Amino acid sequence: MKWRALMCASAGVFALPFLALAYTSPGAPTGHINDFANIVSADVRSSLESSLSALATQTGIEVAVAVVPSLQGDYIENVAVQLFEEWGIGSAEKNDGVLILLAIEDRELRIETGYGAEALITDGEADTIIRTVMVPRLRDGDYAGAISEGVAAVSAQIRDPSLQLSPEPEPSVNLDSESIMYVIGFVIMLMQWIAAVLARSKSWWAGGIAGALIGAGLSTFLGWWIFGGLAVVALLTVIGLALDYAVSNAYGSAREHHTSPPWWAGGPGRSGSSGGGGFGGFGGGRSGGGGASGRW
Amino acid sequence: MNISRSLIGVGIVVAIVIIGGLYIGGVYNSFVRSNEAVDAQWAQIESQYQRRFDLIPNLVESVKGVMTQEQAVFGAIAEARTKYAGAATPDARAEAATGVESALARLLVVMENYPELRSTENVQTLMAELAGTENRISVERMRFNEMVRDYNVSVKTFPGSVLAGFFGFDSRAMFEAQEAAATAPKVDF
Repeated sequence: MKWRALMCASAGVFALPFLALAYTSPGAPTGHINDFANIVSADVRSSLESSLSALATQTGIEVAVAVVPSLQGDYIENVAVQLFEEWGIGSAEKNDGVLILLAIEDRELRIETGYGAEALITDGEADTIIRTVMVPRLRDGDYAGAISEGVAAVSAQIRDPSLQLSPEPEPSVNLDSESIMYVIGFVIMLMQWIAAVLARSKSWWAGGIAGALIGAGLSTFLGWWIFGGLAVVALLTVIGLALDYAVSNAYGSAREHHTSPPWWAGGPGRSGSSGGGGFGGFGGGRSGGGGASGRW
Repeated sequence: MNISRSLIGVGIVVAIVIIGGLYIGGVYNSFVRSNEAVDAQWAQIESQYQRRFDLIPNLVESVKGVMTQEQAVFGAIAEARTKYAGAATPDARAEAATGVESALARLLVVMENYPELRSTENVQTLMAELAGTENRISVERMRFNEMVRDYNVSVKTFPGSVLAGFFGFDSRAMFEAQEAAATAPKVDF
């Protein structure tokens, strides 16, 4: 039991994402509009929020706005690409998110396009929106107007069907450490479940059959030529037999002594749960540095 | 009871052998995967080099008329482009790309002396595209270096280092930024 808790804890540690150096996150996104500098009024915020939610449901494209007080000495291009990756704006398959980033003290802004959004909003178009729509308003100190009009211009670009030519998503199989941990966790759960079933069953031979079946499945699906399919089937049959015998014994003796069986023989386990609520987060998209920057 | 005890023993030994085989196979596969990922990331950098390569003639074409005094700069750009086009190996292309970069940086500096170019919409758009491309290059380079670092850590640390030596996986070189290429040229029109 303790051992299993330890395993879960260490899996959690390994699943932590890499934190890039020289970049400090402004915080988790609370919606499409994230004002860390407190310059956007609640009215403007909620109206932009609903218009960007509508855009996301209609076109599937996520647009995030981030207003930070300062870049803390970093380049806006660097902050934008790191923040984009941290929040995962846009869908993970299409990478079609857009980030509008404003740094108030530095008087700099950037429109960052995800890999899949580069065809919808070209760098030239992003630059035009910054120069002609946003910068003039920012120079007048009209932050809310600049953000509203900038969001409107970006949304218009996204909705314009003539621009949606062919944003080809790159197919990728992402087997990172996090998903491997999920797979391992799943396998452990599956094995515990099998052990529980075998322990409760009266037979001592069902494990052998289960082993043989799993071996046959493995060698068919994985084309596992190293050991040879037959050898795998034979080995797993033996393991299955031994496992069934061991867990049946342990379960039986536990029943006799009216104690709960050990965790590896179908005993009670703890299930954790993770809390959450409010904004569900973005889809996990990435950007490759497309877009344009400007200053006011 | 004795027979079943020894059966359990055999089962445990067999399980250890299988788990060991799976572990070695898994480590080998992870080397192959991260090695391939590094190659794929290098291809990302090269595709951005190509994008820059394709943008340059448009820019040169649209500023040549105004910048008549700057033939040396245009000559250097043309020469660097020819070198890049002729480079056959990834190493040669990387070196030629550095040449393109510094020639381009010179052009951008000289362009500062021609404020009338700023009002040209075409030049403005090209400069935005070029700035975006330079930024993409630096982003892909950064990711390339991160991937190489992860790969190098996996082949240099124990126990992976033993298997890496056995299977012949060497550590790989990071992309070293030139002084001029450390940051994308700032295009501030």
